[in-house]
Amino acid sequence: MTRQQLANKGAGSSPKIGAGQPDALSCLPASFASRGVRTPFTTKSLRYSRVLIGQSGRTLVSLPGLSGGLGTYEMPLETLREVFDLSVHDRMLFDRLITLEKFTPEMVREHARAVAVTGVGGVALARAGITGNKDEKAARELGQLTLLYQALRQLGGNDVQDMKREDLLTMDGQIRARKALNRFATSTGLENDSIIDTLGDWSILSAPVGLAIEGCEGPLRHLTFGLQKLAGEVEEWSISEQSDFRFMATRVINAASATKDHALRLLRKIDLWNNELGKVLQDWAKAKEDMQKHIDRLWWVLDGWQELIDLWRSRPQHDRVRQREIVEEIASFAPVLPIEALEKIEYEFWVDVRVNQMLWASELRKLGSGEIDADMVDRLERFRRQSA
Amino acid sequence: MKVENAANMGVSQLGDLFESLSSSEIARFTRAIESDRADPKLPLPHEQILQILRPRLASLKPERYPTPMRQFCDPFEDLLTSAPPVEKSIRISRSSLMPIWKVVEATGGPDMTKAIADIEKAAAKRDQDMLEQAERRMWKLASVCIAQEIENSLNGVKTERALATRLGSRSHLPAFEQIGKILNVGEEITAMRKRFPSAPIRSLGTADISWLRDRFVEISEEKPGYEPVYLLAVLARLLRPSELFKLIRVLSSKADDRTISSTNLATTGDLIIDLLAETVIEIEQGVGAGKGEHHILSLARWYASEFTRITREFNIRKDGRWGEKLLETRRRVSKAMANTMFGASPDRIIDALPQIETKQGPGSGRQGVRPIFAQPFDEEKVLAAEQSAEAIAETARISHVLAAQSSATKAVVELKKKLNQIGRAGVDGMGRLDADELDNAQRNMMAIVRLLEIIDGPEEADLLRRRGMNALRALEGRKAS
Repeated sequence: MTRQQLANKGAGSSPKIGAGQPDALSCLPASFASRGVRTPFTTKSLRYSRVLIGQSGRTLVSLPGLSGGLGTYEMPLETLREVFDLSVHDRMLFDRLITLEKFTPEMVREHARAVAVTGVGGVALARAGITGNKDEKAARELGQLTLLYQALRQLGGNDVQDMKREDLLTMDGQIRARKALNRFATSTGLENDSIIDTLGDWSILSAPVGLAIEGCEGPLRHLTFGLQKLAGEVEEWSISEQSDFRFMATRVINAASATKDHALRLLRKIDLWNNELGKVLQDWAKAKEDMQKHIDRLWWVLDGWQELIDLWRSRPQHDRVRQREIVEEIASFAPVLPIEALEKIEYEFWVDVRVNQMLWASELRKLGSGEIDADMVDRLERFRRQSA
Repeated sequence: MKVENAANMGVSQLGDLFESLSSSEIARFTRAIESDRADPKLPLPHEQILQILRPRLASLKPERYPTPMRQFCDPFEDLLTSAPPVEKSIRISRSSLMPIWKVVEATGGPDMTKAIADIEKAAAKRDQDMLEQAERRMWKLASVCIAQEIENSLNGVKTERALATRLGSRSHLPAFEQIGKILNVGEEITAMRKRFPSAPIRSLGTADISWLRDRFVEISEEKPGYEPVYLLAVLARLLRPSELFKLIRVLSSKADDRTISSTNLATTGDLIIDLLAETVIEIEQGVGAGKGEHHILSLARWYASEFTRITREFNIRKDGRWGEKLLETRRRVSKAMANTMFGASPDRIIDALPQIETKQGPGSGRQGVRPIFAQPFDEEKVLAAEQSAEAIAETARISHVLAAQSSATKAVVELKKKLNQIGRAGVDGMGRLDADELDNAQRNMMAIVRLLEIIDGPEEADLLRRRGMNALRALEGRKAS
């Protein structure tokens, strides 16, 4: 096990990024891959943990919740079961993760959901997974229909301008649509069925994002606007707070807003293709590659925020103390964007967020919420010595 | 929007309008309404508008317009409750405020009228210094006025009845007296509130304790007898009443509660334990009203942590002043827990699960009985069962503090036994399930795994899960072939 020493430099004040202090950036992850993918383990000590492939090619799990502000514990994933008393849910998830050779947020989410819907983590978790699957399927199907309809309107000629989206659900409508799209295919030298096939592939590819039309939004689009809502609500909440909590809330608002801005930029790039249906259909390979790249990046940018938004949504309406604890937790564990995703101008901003996080983590630990007992310290230290 | 327009709007229109306003607009609008209420220039239904705004204001907590009555209540704001007045509570009911304020306003004399007018002037001018000076004068005058009224009322039944009549009810008398005492140290309390602006105070550090000790010593020199009132104000601002024992320990040279009874700190210690007793009453009432285990658990958890903190901070003796009271509260909690959490709840958990068929008619062999995991999975019932189980497990973990170990152990052992029985019977019968019953069976099986985990940890639960998954896989294989 290794321990990243993150907070030794620059902690205590907002560090200035300049030629003389290149190390301040070391508190930020270099890349999305080195930041790792959020793993929704339910064992308390593993909250906010991430899996990643280490420099040696080994699969690691990083545990920020244990560090007490000094950094993040990293240990080989395979040792997880020996060190922690995992919940049954986590044992099932572990059995799946240990077989993977690479990790992406989408992949981990899929495995986590497959475990959740069995009910092993309780009814609430299963229900969230089942509802999520159902809603996403409905959005995907409606999105598919809408995409087809948009293609028809844009490329099908005058004969189909009277058609409505619902007409595509009828046999007659489908025949008219096919005829119209075939005409476009012939005029552009494409194979007749390739348009329908491409539209099908497209809707599957873009399902995580969906369309900017009510009922067709995918989970990543929802999450982007969820971030915006989180920032707005925390801002309103913080107005009546004293300076200490307002300071913390401001970091949440800033981090959420800045992440949302990054996500929105990617969303716009993906949405641009919707207005270029002809181009997409004529060079699907190129469009596919470009969209896939942006969607993959969007998964990484937003990774880890969903549960923080869920945590905020679960806050009790009248318990101000609990609300403060929740803001403190969100502020401490909000995902920071890695250097590879940032412009130079953003460095100072994210270093400030991260340095404060490390200070708060230490405060949380003092309050006894670090969930680390003497036994666990022993076990962790033993692993550290063995791997040294 | 313009404030004037509010006069021409209906309640629902106003409600819709306020929904659409941002938080800073709401704050500005509230200030404008309250300012106009103090010195009406517009024909507005001020109270009605504020009534509609109240839920939003409760969450926003914007800075409110300093009306004389609001400033009057400032030193005891932390003690206010929306519950009706109760004879022996340290809380002050909001319903007592208006009657008390009216008596003080009417009997305060010209100096009081002047102080009130100055507060209004200062508020309109937003002059903070003038406001502070005027409110301090008002607190002193009100304190003297209330003390005078109370003294007069002690002269006989008639005078007491007369005061009660002026207050509108005898139930406001204790609050009237209490407010009088608090206002006597209003200035000191305000200083304390400024020192600890974030309410409730999460914990008192060493510097906080020594600051409070110095204030306590000052009050005991300048206003002897009012120390407990001051401590009461501190107590009301603390997240955990037991935190005040840190201060009591510093202030007291006594080692335990048997010898402390003669000091004026004893009254404060009594108050903390009285507050704990209020939690016990809530637990008992919750039990009586059939409230959910989670509600009772949160109270029990609170009680247990406060009990532990008090006994840790101070050497509480069984035969001491506080020891007897504390142990009495614990006996009551223990009894309430045995009746609910460890009594009825385990049965409710088992009821949510597939039932092992006990009745078998003549001639019905084992083959005739349907596998129990074919019984329908009831998501709502199982969710409620999980919540009950979590409450039981956590209460069992703190049962030593609640003196409820034996009932906790019995409940946990019983539950574990029954869950294992159902789990084993369910997995054994899986081979006889139809192919379309697999999903339902899996949910039933996982429900038991989860409950077992909550009650007893992951080991046995995982064993059952593995056995169940093997049986499911075998069944799936059979279905595929």
